[in-house]
Amino acid sequence: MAKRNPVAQIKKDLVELVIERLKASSNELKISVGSKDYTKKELITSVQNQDAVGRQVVRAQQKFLQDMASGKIY
Amino acid sequence: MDKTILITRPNHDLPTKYLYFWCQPVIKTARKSKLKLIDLSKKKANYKNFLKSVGQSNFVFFNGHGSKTMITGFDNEPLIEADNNENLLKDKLIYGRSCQAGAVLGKSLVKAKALVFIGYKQDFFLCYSRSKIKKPLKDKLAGLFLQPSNLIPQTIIKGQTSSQSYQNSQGAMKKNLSFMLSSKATKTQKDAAPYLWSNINCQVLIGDNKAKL
Repeated sequence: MAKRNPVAQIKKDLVELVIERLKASSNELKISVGSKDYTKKELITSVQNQDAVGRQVVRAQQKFLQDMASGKIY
Repeated sequence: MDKTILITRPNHDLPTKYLYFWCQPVIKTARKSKLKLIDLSKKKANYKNFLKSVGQSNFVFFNGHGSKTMITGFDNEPLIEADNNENLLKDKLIYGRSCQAGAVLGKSLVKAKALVFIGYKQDFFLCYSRSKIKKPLKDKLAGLFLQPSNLIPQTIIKGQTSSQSYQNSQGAMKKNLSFMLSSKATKTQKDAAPYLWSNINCQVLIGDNKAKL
């Protein structure tokens, strides 16, 4: 039986969490990052593909959630 | 001698179109002041015009796409680039409203004797409402991102220090973030909160925090 890599699993869980958060987000939201703008659907694809923008979005969401949990934002 | 502010604001795609329109409150502030204003808007935001105008400018406010090493103008033509023409901005105050330039270009400019560079060391997120893209100035969601960003040039134009402009912008972004996390915000505004938090954390001031016009 293959050993589970905990770091890879956390990363996978994080990506899935971000995808679910994006799916639940408003259809009205459009985001410009880098030199392009993205609809919700396009962002989900970027996160699924883990391209440069997708990784940016995951980092932004991760930092937000961590800082909310630690009380850094309030 | 009157001081001069140079603004570059191309409008060749949706993000730059938003920046183009949202510069208007800054231009209004500049026109009320004693400053001379050079407005390189739309196609005029090209390297040839930038080169003609930058020498006489004291404060340069860039709007446009960027990378770690450059800021661009209309159709993404490079205007200022590390290891190339940083000397053009010697002795000037600079605000770069573009992605990532704070990571390398900003430091390079200050090393080449620019007074101060305020910008972003990662990508600048801009969120907007799909239903408002034909009327950018009516887009309240974009305003939550761009009004605090405008405070940087507006504070400098009013004669305050680079540090004060940075503090004003940070304070306004945090105030907007609190609103976006409150029950008064729409769902769209709440969903955009992580991206404003990212902008707050990646905004940087490099150089003399007492610099002013």
